[in-house]
Amino acid sequence: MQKILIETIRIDGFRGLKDFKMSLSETTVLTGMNNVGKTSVLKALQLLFGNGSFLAVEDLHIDNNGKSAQIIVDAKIIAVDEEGKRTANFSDVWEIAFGEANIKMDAENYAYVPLRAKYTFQTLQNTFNRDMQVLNEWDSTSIAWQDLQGKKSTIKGECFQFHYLDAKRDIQDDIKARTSYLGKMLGDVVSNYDPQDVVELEKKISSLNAEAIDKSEVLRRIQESLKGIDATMDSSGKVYVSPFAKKLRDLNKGLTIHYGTEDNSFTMDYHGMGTRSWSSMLSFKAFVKQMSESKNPDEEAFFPIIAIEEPEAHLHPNAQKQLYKQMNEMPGIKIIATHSPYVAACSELSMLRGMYKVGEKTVCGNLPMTKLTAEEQRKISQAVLMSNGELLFAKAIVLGEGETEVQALPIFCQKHWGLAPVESGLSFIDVKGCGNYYPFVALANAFQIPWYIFSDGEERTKKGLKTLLEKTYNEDREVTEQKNIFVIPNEKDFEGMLLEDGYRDEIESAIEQLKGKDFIAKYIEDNNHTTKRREKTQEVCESCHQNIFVNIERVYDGEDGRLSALDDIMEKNKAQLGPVLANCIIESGKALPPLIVKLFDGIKKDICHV
Amino acid sequence: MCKIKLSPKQQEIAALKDGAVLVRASAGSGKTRVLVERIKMLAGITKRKVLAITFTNKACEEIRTRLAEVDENLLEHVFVVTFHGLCESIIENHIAATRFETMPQIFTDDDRKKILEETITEIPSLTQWYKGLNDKERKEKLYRALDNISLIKRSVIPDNELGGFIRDEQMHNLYLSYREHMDSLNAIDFDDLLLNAYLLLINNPRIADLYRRSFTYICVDEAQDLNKAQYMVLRAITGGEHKNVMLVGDTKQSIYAFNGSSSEYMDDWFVRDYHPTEYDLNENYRSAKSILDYAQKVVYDDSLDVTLPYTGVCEECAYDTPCEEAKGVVDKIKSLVGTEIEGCDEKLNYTDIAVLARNKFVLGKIEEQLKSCGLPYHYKTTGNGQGFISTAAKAFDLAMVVRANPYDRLHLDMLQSLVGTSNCESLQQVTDSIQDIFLKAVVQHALLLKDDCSNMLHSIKEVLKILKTSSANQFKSEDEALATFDEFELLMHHWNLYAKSVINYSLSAFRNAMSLGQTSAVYAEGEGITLSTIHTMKGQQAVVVFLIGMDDGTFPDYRSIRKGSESLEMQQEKNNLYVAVTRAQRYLYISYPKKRNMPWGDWSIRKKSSLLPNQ
Repeated sequence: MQKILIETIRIDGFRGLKDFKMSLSETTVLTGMNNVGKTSVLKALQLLFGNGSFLAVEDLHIDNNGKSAQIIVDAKIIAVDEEGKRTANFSDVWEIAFGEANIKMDAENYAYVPLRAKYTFQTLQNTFNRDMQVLNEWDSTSIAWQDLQGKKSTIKGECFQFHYLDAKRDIQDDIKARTSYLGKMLGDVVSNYDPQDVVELEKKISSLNAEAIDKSEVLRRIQESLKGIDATMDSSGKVYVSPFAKKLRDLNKGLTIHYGTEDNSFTMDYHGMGTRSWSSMLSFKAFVKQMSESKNPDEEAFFPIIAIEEPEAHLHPNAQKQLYKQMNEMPGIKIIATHSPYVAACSELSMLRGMYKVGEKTVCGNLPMTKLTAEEQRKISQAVLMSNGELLFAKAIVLGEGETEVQALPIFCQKHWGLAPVESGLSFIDVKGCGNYYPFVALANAFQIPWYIFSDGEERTKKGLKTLLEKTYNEDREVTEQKNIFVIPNEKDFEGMLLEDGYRDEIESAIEQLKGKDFIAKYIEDNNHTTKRREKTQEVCESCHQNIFVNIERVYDGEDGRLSALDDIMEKNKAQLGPVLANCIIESGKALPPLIVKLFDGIKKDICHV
Repeated sequence: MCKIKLSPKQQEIAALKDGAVLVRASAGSGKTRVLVERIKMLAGITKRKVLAITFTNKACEEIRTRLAEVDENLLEHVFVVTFHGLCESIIENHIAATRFETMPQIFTDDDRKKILEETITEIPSLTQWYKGLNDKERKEKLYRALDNISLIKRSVIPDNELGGFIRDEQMHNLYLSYREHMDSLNAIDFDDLLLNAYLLLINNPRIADLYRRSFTYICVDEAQDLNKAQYMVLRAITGGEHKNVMLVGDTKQSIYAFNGSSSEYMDDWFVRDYHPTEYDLNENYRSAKSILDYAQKVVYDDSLDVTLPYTGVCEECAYDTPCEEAKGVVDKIKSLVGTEIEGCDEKLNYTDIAVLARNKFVLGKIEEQLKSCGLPYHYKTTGNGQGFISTAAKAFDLAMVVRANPYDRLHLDMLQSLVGTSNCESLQQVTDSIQDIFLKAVVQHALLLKDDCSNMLHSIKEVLKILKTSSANQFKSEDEALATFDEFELLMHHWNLYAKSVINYSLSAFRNAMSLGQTSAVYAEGEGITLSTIHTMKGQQAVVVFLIGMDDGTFPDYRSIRKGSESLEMQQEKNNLYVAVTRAQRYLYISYPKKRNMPWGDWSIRKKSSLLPNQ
């Protein structure tokens, strides 16, 4: 199959969308709050590639400047190869389908088609006038994109196969409706039989019918009494009762779909909406595959555009996880609007788009893929998967660089707000080192999720934060001026902060809970005055000309020594310590550490609806 | 005439597929039919398109009609177009790749003349000189300069090589100023169409590639009339790789040298660049034997193959005066109409007759005579640049141009002097200041035209409605009233043809289509006897042809005679005569007056044209 790609779409004057731009990939997964305009994007694609029969005057955008006079939907269609990589020219079938008059060249001399649908409202007739155009160019430095000039498109409508799968799909309706995808396939089923087989099958059905009637007193009686019709009609016709469809061409009329175990299955009527909706989607998939296989890839331009609304509707999480793969396998350009973290978590990062509002304006964000290394991308993917996709739908993301605090913070949060993290919508992520914040901040920014950093106070860490700010905002910013970055004072780490804030007793009891009584004393006894690490000095050996290393030993003597022993123990056990420690602090009835309270209050102020 | 099967030679050419081909087809060899047959075949085998380039809109229409008769769907795979039309569509489709922001307005020859005159008055050194000339000299100089400008453009001379091409410093200046002036109005002339399309293609190789791939086969008709710019456009489209180009032409019929055409592009350049397989198509299916014999004496063709079994008539006659000549011709017409003709199913009709002359003025006497006898006739026009006569239609047309292109100060000023306003900066101001109520309404309607022309028909109808309710005494004369009415109907006709032929309506495109003659191709076809110059009759034929004014000085033109018998001009005159003779299918009457009344009142004794063979 020869591919094309819709690189970008622009929508103006349609429902909540004004001056809206969005990039697409072969599969695009669109997330966003309810009412943000995901369905509007799908419907806008229908306006461009399908039809606008659903339009009503209410679909015109209204804002403070009044009502839009027209709806504009643009798509920049570009040439891609089998792998989806952009190519300079359209493949043969697409070049022919578009025609030399409609193909433009961009500044880099890559071919594209700037397609536009313009719907103008006709007040008198109360209808919309549709105008399909090919723009002279995709953008211009001197005029707004909405005012770009074009010519009437000479691209044939059938060139674009647009399919819209709405959220209310149901396999039961599909079977009955001849216009549904399933109905269309079933309607054609008889032509796929060998004519000889048709004869044989119909013969079998005929004898089956005869037997069924013969053995049923009820049916026989019905047939007998209906014979009375013969008498009143002048024709020589006869009345037949056929429990099973007589002709193969009527196969679709009596077709049922069962689901269950072999000896205990139910027809679809008895299944829940989840199964029915899913089945409907799969039957559509079969339809598209059938279509694409019936086309000669060297002769016909075929690459459908499929808009799918809430594919996850009514489905179990495990089913939702399979769903993405099934949709992604369909041939064509897919745009999927979803609220399912599972579906979003399965898709590639580059396919994710988040819609959100900035003031009155709806915008769409995506990850800055070119600014992320493969390793950073992998880290995001992993975090998204770990959270089962919840991360993408979080109300706020709190980033930390140590296991202890990232485990302790949700527990403190629950205590502070009286809400479980799931309820509050907060996600806590351990980025594992101060150099690793960027990908997560990029993710949060792309999806317009407020983000917060709870950071250690070492110089090295602060430097890392400074670099992060520069990379994120492309300018020099002071860490101390950022309201969403909380740095532990006095160059301490989390554990150091707790000790400083006077939670020594709670720390000791947490360690004992975790490691058993007297663990601390034993630890001090075992490790006091042992070598902790070797440290490089400035002195150089005269014979080998290398720096001289000295041993740094653990000193656990006295009160200060005990504190540093506690610090070392916490460091060694940070993987498990967090929750225990947090609970000990809460149980103590003491106030939470002030910086943590400050963090939570800051978040609360930003997102008042938590 | 009934359709006869293609001859084996014609069949061979019609069946040619890949490769470069040059077909030398003499007059009457059925080349258009062969071309159409081949296009039909190619359209059936290509997934893309066949590009068929012809020289007139009329020829385009003919090829389209013939293809549509076979199968409407064929037209999806054929792009039949003139060179100008092709270039316009390339520029319009890829306007972003040109130096224009919006499609420029195409200026006709009248417009060009005015622009040039304005340009001259803007150059102080030229103004003095120009003022010193008398009217006749001015006119002559203007035309000379315009021809030079055309020639520069048609010869595709880049600016840095201009020095070598025009040695005259003033002409050099004038050329550049003229171009600047046109640019400032977002206007281009016909030659610019070719030049800009050429530049677009060579500056944007990917776009040229796109067209190269789109047109699997290219056919060019009347290729002996190619000029350099046209050849370069063709070359830019085909690049070095595209070889499926067929040129069809006849060196003997090359008659457009005066505007930069030369058969050398077909005979030498094409052969050198494309290495075509060459074919001769020299069977004659058009003219009777006696006419062909005569043509052979004009330009000898050793390969000519006569196939028609009819003898026909070919006579020369001398009359005393042009008046006598006209009478003689009309008497002959009267006696011929209604008679049987060899090889024709129907009796001779007025529409089968054409009167041809070297220039339009010679036809005046014939027209008078036909008028007084009440015989039907029409002038054949190329359809290009048809102007309006009535003040109202002119005003509407001008206002429409200004409406489409607000930069166009030239037409704004023309409109102003026409409707009697002055110092207006915009169309709105003109509308406001017009005194005449009718003209005001007309211009108002043009002002309110929408860019997409959605109210064009409505506006024209509104004007017609006002006309119907007004009385004739509101106009200068009854003629003016009638002309106004006719011309708005004509405008509506132009619009209808335009609307039918394109899917994309725009005001400037409509005007451009009118300027390119694309909207009058069908309309120009008139009833009755055809009066035509030889140039306009090209590519067409008539059962009976009268070739009049065959006296030396008229045909050949006195200017050509001055250049000497071996000059290119005289060779062209010979070709002209060849074209004229080969238009005739059965009867050919060649005549000349023995004396002519000169503009200064004297009678001048005339000799039979030296071009004509001595019998």
